Amino acid sequence: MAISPAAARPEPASFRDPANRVFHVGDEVLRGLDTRAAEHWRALRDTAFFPALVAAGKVCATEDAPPALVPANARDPWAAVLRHERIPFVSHPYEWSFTMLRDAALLHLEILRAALADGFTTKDGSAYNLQWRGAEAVFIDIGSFEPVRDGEPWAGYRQFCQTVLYPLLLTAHLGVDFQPWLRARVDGIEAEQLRPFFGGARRLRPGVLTHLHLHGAMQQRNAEASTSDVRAQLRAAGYSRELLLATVRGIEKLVRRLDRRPAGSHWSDYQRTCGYSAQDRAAKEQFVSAALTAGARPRLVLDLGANDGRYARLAAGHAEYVVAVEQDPAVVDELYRTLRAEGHRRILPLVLDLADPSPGGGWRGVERAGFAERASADAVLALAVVHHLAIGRNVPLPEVIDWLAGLTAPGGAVVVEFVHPEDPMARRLLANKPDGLFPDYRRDTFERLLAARGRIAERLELPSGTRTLYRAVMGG
Amino acid sequence: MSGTATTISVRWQTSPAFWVKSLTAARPDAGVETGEGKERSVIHLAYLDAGSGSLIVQAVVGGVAGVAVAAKLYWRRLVDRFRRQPTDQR
Repeated sequence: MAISPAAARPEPASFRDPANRVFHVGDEVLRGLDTRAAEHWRALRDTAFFPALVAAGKVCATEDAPPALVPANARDPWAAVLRHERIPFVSHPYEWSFTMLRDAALLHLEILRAALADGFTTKDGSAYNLQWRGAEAVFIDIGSFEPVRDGEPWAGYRQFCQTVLYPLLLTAHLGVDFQPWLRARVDGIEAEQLRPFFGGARRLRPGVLTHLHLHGAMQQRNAEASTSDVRAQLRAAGYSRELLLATVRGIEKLVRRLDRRPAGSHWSDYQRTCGYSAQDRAAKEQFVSAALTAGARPRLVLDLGANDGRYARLAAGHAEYVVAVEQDPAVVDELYRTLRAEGHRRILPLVLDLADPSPGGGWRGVERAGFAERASADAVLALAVVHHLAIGRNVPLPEVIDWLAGLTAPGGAVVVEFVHPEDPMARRLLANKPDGLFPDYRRDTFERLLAARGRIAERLELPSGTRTLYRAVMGG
Repeated sequence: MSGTATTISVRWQTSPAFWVKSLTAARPDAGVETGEGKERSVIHLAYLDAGSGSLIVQAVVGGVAGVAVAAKLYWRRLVDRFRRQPTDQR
């Protein structure tokens, strides 16, 4: 089938490097390359390291495509067009847990090391070069590869520090969650912003003195020097590829040392402490399984408030891909580590506060798409979350249901659990709020609101009698 | 003609005081002076701009051989400056 280039939608995040640009045509992900980038691609294709990394699943699969598929850029037509493997769900580094960012960092460095050994380098070092297939990181920025020029350090080092290394130092050394910092700044954390936090003895923590303090000071002192002059000076002083490799190995060693076993949090014990009876649990699992197999096999399932991933795993048995969203970074980290150990490739755990999901970021607020724009699921699981939003965060019940409907593709299903006000968990939340604040938090109100926005296809009251499950088919 | 290399100029980087200051400054705005009365500020570098300081620091983090390269770079800058000065005054 011929696809018109007019149907191509430029990827809003792909504009910073004019040498290439990503387009979406239907379900396909295509990349236009200018003459020079096309030359680099042909050289890259013929290397030994690149096909090996693709075969190992570490770099996204890429092949040549007909140039007519994407619209020409302003000056001239693209010299070549590539077709990339589709990533099931695009996520941003501020939605990853510590170990996810650390593993993404190690993959980036491993790829750089392999490239350098074969005469290539990456022109940037951004955390946004990486995406996920479940719990497996994958490098996606094929346009970043270019032949290495001898005698030059890694051009992506500064960016790597800002979007990867500094966030890791923040969490590993200070125990501060990096996600809000990265979310607030699309270019990552600047050395000068982080240096004040690493005074005194903290200066001696691994990586701080050199990569943070010395780096920051050097940036200040060389602010007016042009990079081409400095490159020439370094080459003249004998900077070699061996030295570059030693630097990359050094950063790799440092990243491996950075670790933080998250301390137990309220949510990490939630599954064990939230008081489901065995009967309730069995009935709930059966209901969820039946709900996911009632229609066509879902391509994307969203599990909201995934906790330890019990229902995400259940969903993965019936769907192509599951995005398991949880607000506690420590819980997501645990889930990620478990999934990684199993080599799971169909569940993507993400850090996200449901009452404050990722907004659009970067240029015009569209460069990094907000969560709501990315999420259009065939099935949404909202198990034991409605009371946390409605009572815990004071979100009006009609808003909660509208929001669930918004995350669901037309014709998709919402599988939602309503915790009655008499339930011990709801009572515990209500006890902290003034009396009579939530007169509408009732099962009949919930059911009426849900029925107004979708068709309630199934309903089950759990044996304990204080929780009801619904499957509602939305819109369409 | 005043060369660009002179514009880059050697400041305090070559002196041991620079290294001591850089490595011991309690806060970024304390103890690190450029010698030119400049205030430090967050530098917003363009995308795909490697950053001059970020390039040089990579020599230093590359181990002993790297430090030697960095020392050589600064030594050349210093020598270059003294060589150029008479030409500039002409």
